[in-house]
Amino acid sequence: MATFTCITCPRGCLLEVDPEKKTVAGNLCPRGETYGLAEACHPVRVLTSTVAVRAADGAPYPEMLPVRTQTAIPKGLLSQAMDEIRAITVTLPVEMGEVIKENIAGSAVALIASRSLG
Amino acid sequence: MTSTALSSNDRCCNDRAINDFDVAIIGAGIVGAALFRELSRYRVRIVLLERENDVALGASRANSAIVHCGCDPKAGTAMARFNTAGNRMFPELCRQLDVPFVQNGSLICAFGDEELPVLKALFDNGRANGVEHLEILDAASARALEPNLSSAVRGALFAPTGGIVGPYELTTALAENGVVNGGELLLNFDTAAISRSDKGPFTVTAADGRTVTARYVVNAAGINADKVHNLIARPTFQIRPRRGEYYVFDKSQGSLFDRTIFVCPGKLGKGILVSPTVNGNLIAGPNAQDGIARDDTAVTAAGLAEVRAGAQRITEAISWRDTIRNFAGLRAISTRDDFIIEEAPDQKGFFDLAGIKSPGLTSAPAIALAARDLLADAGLELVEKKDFNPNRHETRFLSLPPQKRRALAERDSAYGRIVCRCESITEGEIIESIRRPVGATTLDGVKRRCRPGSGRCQGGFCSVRVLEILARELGKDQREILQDKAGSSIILGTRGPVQGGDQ
Amino acid sequence: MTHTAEKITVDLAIVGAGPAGLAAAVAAYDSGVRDILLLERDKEPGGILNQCIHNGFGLHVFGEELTGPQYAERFVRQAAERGIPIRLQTMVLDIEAPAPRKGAPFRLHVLGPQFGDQTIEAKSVILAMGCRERTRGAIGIPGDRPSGVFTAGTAQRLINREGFSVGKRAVILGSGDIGLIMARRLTLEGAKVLCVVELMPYSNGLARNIAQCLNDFNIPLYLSHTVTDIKGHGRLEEVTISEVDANRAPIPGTEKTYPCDTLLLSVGLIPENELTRLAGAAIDPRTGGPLVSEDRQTSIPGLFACGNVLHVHDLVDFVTGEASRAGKGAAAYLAGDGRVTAEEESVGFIPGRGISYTVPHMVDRAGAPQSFTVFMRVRQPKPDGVIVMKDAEGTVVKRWKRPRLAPAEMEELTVTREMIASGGSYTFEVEE
Repeated sequence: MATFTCITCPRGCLLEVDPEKKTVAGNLCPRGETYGLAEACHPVRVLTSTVAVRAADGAPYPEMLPVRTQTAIPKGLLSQAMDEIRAITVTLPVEMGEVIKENIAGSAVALIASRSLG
Repeated sequence: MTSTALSSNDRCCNDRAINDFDVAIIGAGIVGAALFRELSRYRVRIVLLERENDVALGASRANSAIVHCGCDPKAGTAMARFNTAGNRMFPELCRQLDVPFVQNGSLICAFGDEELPVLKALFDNGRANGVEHLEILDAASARALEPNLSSAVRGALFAPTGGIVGPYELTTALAENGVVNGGELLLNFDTAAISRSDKGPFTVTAADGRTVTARYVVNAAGINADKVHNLIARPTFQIRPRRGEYYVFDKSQGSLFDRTIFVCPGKLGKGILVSPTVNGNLIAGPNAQDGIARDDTAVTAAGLAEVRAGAQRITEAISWRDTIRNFAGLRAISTRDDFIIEEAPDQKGFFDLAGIKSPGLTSAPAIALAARDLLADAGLELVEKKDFNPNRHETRFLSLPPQKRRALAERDSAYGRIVCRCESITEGEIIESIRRPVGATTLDGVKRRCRPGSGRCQGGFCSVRVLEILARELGKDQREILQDKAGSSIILGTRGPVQGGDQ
Repeated sequence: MTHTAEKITVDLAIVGAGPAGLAAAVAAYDSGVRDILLLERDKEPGGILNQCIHNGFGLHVFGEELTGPQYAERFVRQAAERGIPIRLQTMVLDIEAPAPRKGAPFRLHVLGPQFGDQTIEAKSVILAMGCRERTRGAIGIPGDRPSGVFTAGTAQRLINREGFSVGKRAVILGSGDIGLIMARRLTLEGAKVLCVVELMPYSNGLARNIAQCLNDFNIPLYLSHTVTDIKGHGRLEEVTISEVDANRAPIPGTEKTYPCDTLLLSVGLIPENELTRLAGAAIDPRTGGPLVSEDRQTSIPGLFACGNVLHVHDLVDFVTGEASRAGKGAAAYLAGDGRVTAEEESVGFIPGRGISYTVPHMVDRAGAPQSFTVFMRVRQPKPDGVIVMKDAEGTVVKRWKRPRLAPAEMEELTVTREMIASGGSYTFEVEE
C-alpha cells in the first residue's frame, strides 16, 4: 500500500494505492484512479523549462522561450531531459505548440513551445 | 556635463599615481562631499577619495534624514554652533543643488508631566544656540497641529526651522557639483597608508596600490576616521560605532504627520523619532546600541521591537503592516564628546573632521566652511573661480507641468516609459541618473539617486528592468551589475545569450 | 475611440492586460461592448502568466492542463480576434471618478510612449492591476541586507524570462505556490534547494505542489519555522532558521544555520489598489481590495474590479471566471441596465467564524443571476469541514460539505436567488 497526493488537479486528493490489487481509494474523481495507479508503477511528470533563442538573423535574443513536454514523461527521465533542453537554441519565429525537439530524452514525447515568439 | 566631469569617474581613471593635489579629502560621505564642493569654488586641485563603489555609503545613507533645528546640542559645543549655522544654509543649498528638502518643522514632545521641564530647558538651550521662532505648546495645541500624536502628550516644543532632506541625494549632489566644478572623485580607493617625507606633500596609498599626493589631507572617514587618523598621526580619539535601526513605511502612512516628532532626549541621543520623509514615506527610529562592529549594520528582532515600542509612545496611528523596509546605520560616536574639527597636533597639514554624529547631516555645510577656513589658515591659498557653477538640476518627470512632460516625452520616448510603478519613475530619469557625473553604477545607486526600488514593491517589479538599463548604459554584462557594495552580485550565471556586454 | 493629441474617449477602459483584464475585455466584447481599450504597463500582454512557465492552468476553463504562457496566449488571441486594442508600456497614474451623475466619464491620466502624457475618458472602467509580492521589509526579517534575497516572483522572472541563474544554494521562506514552484524550478536548473520554511503549522500552497515540487526532489518542508537571521556583506552567505511557538515567536535554541547564496521569499501577495484608492472606491481591509457587488462593481458606479486586484486567487481559471463576470457587468452598466442601487435591494455577505473574507461582498437581489458563486477562504485547515450560510436571524440556509478545508484553497460556493430571498445579510461560517 502506498499513499500519494494526486497532482492531476488543484484539489490534491490523498490517494491510497494498492499496486498488487490495482485499487485506489481517496480519489474524488476517476482521474485520481488513473493517476494513482500510474504513480505506483511508472510515475510520470510534465516537464516545463525554457530554451535559449536567437533572432532570425542569428543575433542573440534577450529572452528565453518557455517550453513543455507535450504530455508527461517518466519521472526518471527529467534530469536527462533537462540536459537536452539546456543544449537547445531555437531560431525565431516560433509558434505556440511548435515542436522544439522530438522524442525528448528518448521518452517518445515531444518538447513543444509554450508560446509564440518573434 | 563637462569633460572634467566625465574624466573623474572611476571607470576612466586608471592612472596608478595622481600627483600634485592641493587637498585630498578621505571619505565621500556628507561631510567630505560638502567640503569637496565648497573647495571646488576655488582655484585649488582637490580630490575626494572613497573606499566604496559609490558616495554616501556610510552613515550618510542610513540616518533619520532630519535637518535639526539646533535645540538639543549643549550651548557652547561645536555641535551647537554648527547645527544652527548648518540649518540656516539648507534652504539655499538644496535649492541650488536641486535636492529634496522641506522645512516641515519639528515638535519635541513631553509624554508625562515630569518631562515638561525638559521642554523648557531645551527652549532655553535652543535660544542660547540662536534657534529662532521656538515656541512651547500645551498638549491641546500640539495635538491640534498633529492630530495623530498620542493622547499621552503633555506638551511640546515647536521648532519651525526643523526640516527633512534627502541625505544621499544631498551627498551625491554635493559630490557631483564638486566634480562639475573641476574636482576629482576616486571611488574604490580604500586608503591603506598615508605618508609624507619631511614637510613635503602627503602620499595617500590605496589598498590596491594607487596613490595620490596632496599638500593637505582632510580626514572625513566617518566610522573609520580614527583608523585613518592613526595612519599618520598619534591617536587623539577613538570611534565607537552606535547602531540605530529604523522602519520605513509605505506612502499610505506618509501623511500621518506633517512635522518631525521627537521625544525628550535621553543620554544616548535624541531618542526614537517619527517623521515624514521628503519622498512622502514615514520613518521611525533610531534606537541606540553601543559595542557594535564597524561593519555591522544588521537589524535585529530586539532592536526593531524597541523602535516599534518607541514609536508607539509617540503615536498609535501607524499601520505596522505597511512597513516597506528596515535598515540600520552606524553613528560615528567619538571618545571626545563633541565634533572633532581640528588639525592633528603632531601632523601639520592633516585635518580631522571626525566624530560627526547627529546633528552631522545638518552641520555638514557649516563644517565645510570651518574646514575651508582651517585650510586657509594653514596656508592654502583660496582664489575664487570665475566660472564656479553652484547650480545643478535633475529631471523629476512627474512633477513637471503637463506640457513640459509631453514635450520631453516626444523628444525622448524614454521619458514616456514608467519603469518604477510604485514611485512612477521613468526610464529617462533612470538613464539620467546613470549618465550624470558621479552617476549610478549599481541597482542601489540608481535607487538612491532617483528612487526605483525604494517604494512599496522594493524593486520586485522594476529591478529586472533597472538591471537591464544599467548594463546597457554602462556597456556591461548584466552579471557584472551589483546590488550595492563590492561583492553584492545579483546574477550568478546565464543560460540565455549574454545581454548588454557585447558592444 | 476618439483620439486627439491630449484626450482619448472610450466606452470601456480596462487597466491591466493580464489574465483578468484580457478575460474581462473578451467578455465585455461578447456582451456587446465595442469601444474597449486595454491599458498595459508591460511590454506585452499576458501579465504574470508569461513568467509562470509551469503547467497546471486551464483545467476549469479549457479542460486541459496548460502552462502559463499557453493560457495567456489563448486569451491574447481571443482579444486579437475581436480586434480589441491593447496599449502597451502604458501606465495609468491616476483615475478620477465622476461626480455621481449618469453620463459623466471617468478620467484616466496615463503615460506611455504611444500616448505620451494623456487623459483617457471612459464611461466605465475595469480595474485588473493584479497584485505584488510581500517583501522582506514588510515582514521584518532581522540581519544584514546582502544581495541574493529575492521575492520568488522576481527570481522567477530572472530565471524564466531572462535565462539567468540567481543562485546555487537556496533557502525558500514561505510555502505558497510560487515558493514551491520555484523550489522545483531552481532544482531543475541545477541549484540546491536546502529547505522550504513555513511560519504556519500548515502549508499555504496546494497539496499537489508539495507533492510534485518538494517531495519529488526530496526538499524538506519545515512547518512552524521562520528565518531569524541573514548574514552577508556583499552577497548572502548564511541564513538561520528557527522553530516558532504557537504565537509564531521564534523559540531560542532551535536555530539551524544554512550556508547559502540565495533566499527566496514567498510570503504573500498584496492586491495593488493604489489606483482604486485614488478613484475613491471603498476598500475591504480583509482582502486589501475593493468592496464589490456580485457583478464586481465597486462602491463607485461604473467602476469594476476583477482578478488579483480584488482578492488573491490561487487559480487563474477562477480569475478568468471572475473577470468574465466583471466584463459582463460593465457591459450591462454601459447598456444602461446597471444595478439598482436602492439599499433594501442589496444583500450583504459577511465572513463569520472561520472565514477570512468573502467576494463578492454583496449582491443586488433584483439584478442577480439565477445562481452565482461566492468565493471565500477559511482561516484554518480542517478535514471533512462544513461551511454554512445563515440568514440575518441565524437560520441555516445551506450547508456545503468539503472533504478538506484549507486556507490555501479558495472555496467557491454556489448561491441561488432563492437562497437570498429573505434579504438583509447572510453570514458564512465554518461549522464547528
